[in-house]
Amino acid sequence: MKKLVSMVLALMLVFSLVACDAKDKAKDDGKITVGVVQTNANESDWRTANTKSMNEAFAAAGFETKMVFGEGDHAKQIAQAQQLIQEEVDYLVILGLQSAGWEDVAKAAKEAGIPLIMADRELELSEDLYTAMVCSDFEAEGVKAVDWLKAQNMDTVDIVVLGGDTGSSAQLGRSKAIEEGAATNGWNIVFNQNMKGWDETLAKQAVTDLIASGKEFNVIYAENDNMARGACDAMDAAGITYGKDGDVKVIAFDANKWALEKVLAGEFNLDIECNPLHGPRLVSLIQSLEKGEKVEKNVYVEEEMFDAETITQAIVDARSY
Amino acid sequence: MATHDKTINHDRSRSIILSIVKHNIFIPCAFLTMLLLVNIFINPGFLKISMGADSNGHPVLIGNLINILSNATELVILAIGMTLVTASSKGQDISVGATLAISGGVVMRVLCGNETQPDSLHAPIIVALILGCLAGMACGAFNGILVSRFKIQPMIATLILFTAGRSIASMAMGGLKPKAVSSFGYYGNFIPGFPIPTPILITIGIVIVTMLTLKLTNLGLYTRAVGVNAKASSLNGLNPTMIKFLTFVVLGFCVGIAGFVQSSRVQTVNPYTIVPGIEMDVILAVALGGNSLGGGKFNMTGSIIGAYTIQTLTSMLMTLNVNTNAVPVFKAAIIVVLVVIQSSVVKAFFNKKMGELKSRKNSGKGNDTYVVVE
Repeated sequence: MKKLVSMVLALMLVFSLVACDAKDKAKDDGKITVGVVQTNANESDWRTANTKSMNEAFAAAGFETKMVFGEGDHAKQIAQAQQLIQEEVDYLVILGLQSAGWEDVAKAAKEAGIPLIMADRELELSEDLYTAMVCSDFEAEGVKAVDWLKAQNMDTVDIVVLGGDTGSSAQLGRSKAIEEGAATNGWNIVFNQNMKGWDETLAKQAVTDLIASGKEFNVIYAENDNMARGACDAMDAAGITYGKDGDVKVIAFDANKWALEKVLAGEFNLDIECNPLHGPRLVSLIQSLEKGEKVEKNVYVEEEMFDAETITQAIVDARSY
Repeated sequence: MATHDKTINHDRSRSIILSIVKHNIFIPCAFLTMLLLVNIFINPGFLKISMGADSNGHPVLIGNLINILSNATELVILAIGMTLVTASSKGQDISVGATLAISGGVVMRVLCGNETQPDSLHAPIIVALILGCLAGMACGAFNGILVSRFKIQPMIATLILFTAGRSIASMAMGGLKPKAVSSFGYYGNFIPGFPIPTPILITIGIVIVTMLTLKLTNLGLYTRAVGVNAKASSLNGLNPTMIKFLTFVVLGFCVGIAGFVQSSRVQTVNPYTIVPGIEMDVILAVALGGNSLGGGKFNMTGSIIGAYTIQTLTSMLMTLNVNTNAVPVFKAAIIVVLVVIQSSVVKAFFNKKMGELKSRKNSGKGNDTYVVVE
């Protein structure tokens, strides 16, 4: 009797699974499902704009989006990516918290026949393991800042580098550019540490501590807008002038709208754009892949920079995020 | 003869108690002094405090010591609550970072509503403070119920909010990352015209309230009793469940205050990155203060000094410009030394040596070597 019951139950289980599967397939019919492994839900304003851009563009194109957030946990992101592969999404878009450690995910995606697209941040994968890449060239962004600084013709350059999350490709690229720039131009790096989480508080503490210990500096190289704001807060509290008419030059990255307002107000000297609007680009990429067209494998997003000397109200107004 | 023996025993036990009391505060103080000396050695201007002016011309005090005192605020306040929780529940609350994000998030939501950059505050600051504290206390109550009523181990019980807290905070903020007007920054920075950072004043206030509470009420005694032996204390008419629960709510209140100060520092909260890893720093502060993480007796002054020790260490690694990748290693190396010196084995060793020295001195009076093992 017991055996019979357990067999019936087991059969029911199997059938229910089959039924689920069938239903899923039916739902998927005609609709492209895009699995997105995003970093954090609200890491920064940049990220918020980035998430919104993808959600909106995918919805407008009629894709179904499955977005998951790693929330600062690299291992969690990898598990989430594996999960999305098992759920058989049609495309897998990865915005990695860390650039290393993605080989297994890429291999699994390849075996499952799911095209893998790297967005925003480059991952350390060999060419055959991914389908396409739409990323920011972080080192090139940093080099823009270095070139700008060189053109300022300052007598002495003492730089405070406020780095982002250690090991993210944005931090690696931007730090590399300034470290090499400083080495070749004979600039002095007074401070170079990475702030966990890219936000104001730690950057502010670091700069406050630097001022208290009497370190002299005249350039703040903050690897995102939020950290630049934290540094400015610290300088405000100590009465150090900065920006266009101040003693300390402030270089920031990402170019959010509020940050451009600060550039316009002369508080930041330079802000280098890192374009978060990946949604439309990903949509057109996926659409060409669907049609079987050949796509350019490695695309770096074009990015501008905004100088306090040349920025206009119109540029700020045109900014949507 | 018998009475004579008793007095000797009495004297001896009193001197043992005295030496332990001396030890409990002596070691944490020694660590802090040692770190400060290292700092002075590396940077002779370390203790210098100068009067400067902020960009609006208001006077402010500038100096490393001021920074340490100011930045340690959250750690000190959390260490106070954590000491009580540790003593009563024989375990630690690992969710303080996540619940701090929740209370900070509530503060920001109350002040900014649904706007990302409001021109004015949506509610009086006192309302935000009260709601932030209530949010912290609610989290504390949740942990407290799991630990005291359902007898779940504190680390497991608080693992729930440790995991979910930051997401809850993000939801509480409606997924926004608002920035409040700068007048909200008075509580985490300076009140215009007053040169001492406000967080230092808040810390002093909280420490005084804590010390008075411990002195004037039975909270400390009951907490110790429950931690040492819950059964015995319940036989003596205490309610261990209630007392454990209360200590978690007190910690929740501390979290609320710390969250308020933290969110005021830069007038914005990023729930995922606010106070990264503070749980471990707080637990470490309690341990450095000479407290047993196994509960029972506690030493509040020690925990507070422990918190300042950790902040000094963090600040030192920052100003030394140690390579980012090496910072955790440095911190760990120093902490290993601090913790090992305080271990019962090392303590017993030193006590034995001390005892030998003493007995050598008093060799005429006989061999009364004793070993103190905690």
